[in-house]
Amino acid sequence: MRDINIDNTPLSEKIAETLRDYIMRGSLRPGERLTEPKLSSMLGISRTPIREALRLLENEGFIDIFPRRGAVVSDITAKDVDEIFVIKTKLESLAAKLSVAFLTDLDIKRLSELNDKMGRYAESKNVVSLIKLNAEFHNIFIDKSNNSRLIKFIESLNKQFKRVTAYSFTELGRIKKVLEEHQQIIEAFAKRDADMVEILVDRHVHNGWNFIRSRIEQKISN
Amino acid sequence: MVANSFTLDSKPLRERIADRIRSDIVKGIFGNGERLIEPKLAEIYGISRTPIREALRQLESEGFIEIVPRKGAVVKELTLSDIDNLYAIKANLEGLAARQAVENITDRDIEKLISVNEKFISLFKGGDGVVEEYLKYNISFHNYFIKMSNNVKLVEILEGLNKNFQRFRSVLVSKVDRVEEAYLEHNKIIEAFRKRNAEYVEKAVRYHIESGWNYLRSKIQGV
Repeated sequence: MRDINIDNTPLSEKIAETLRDYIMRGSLRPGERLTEPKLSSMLGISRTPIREALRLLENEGFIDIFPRRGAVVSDITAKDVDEIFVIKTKLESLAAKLSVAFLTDLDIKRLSELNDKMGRYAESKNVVSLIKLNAEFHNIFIDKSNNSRLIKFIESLNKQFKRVTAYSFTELGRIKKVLEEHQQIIEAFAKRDADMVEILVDRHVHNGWNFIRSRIEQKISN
Repeated sequence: MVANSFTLDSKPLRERIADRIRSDIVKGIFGNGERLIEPKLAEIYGISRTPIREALRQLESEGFIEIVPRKGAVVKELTLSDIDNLYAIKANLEGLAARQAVENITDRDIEKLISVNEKFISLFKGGDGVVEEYLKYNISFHNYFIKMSNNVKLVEILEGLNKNFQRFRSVLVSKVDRVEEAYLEHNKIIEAFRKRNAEYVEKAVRYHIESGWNYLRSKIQGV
């Protein structure tokens, strides 16, 4: 059992984080039932925050909650990955294209700084930070798309798709390519080339898709 | 447990409550900017707070409500700019669905699209048509090729997105003037499906949705 530290994060979120980790690692397998008493004894915590945590995980696609069966660790198939990524690719490249008109030089500088930071974390193999920084990078241009509905949409999709996208940085194999692709995107933004930005972001998300898909297929065959 | 209209269905409770609150917003029972307070809703609908909270989360993701600091959940106002934004997403995602559908479509599906489109125009040959029928057949046409994408998540997302357009149903009345154009644009889409041309069908769908919106927009602004 992991130590759950005392800080400002709500207990239910800490629980969700622990369970997310177990599921990603395979310590909790697809199809496995997560009952409140079982989790309560496994984590040594009362049932109410556990219930909240389970709702959160359901929203993110890590578990399914069935009437009378309760919470079950969800299965992730190649079809799930495909469905999600084709949508994500489309919407993020749309947001990127729209943002070209609104990104400032400061934003572009910020993109560069983030990418450099990611490079440093790649050296030290800090996966959790890489995931965070990558999200920050993407959010810079998403937030500047000037379409508030699109921004909320992508945000909500990313929350729901955590189950799948979390695989992107579990291995450092892809990180070098990610940094390169980010660099190309930054250059296209600097040139204010909207069409190029759209193509590059599309390709970037698509490459992430292929990578994750191959990891899922590997897991299935194991 | 209190027996009421919510209990006799197979849909999860929180979805049925979300449906109910959404329809109350569309009807104007809850106005723009109005606060939706959990205990109050619990009382009005005769349900406990937990499914209400989840229903509100669902509605937030659909864009019907937003969480404002210190106020809580309020009904989101639908501005012209909002509708612009929604249509941009709709055009892109429906175009994507059509593109994906090309892989799966059969000749029988194409026949079906043709027949829905013919039904659509036949209702209006010669003038006065019924708005509800118009909307029904137009939606039917779109939903058909959306389902053919075979992308469960995309279908779900578009269902959620399209619910937003119910909020300006009264304005959609003016769409009836555009029947001929819509019919022809649908035919272009069918032609692209017939040719199994993914790029062409995506463009045709996007063009169709954007034209529809441009027309509506000019009508709204003209008022």
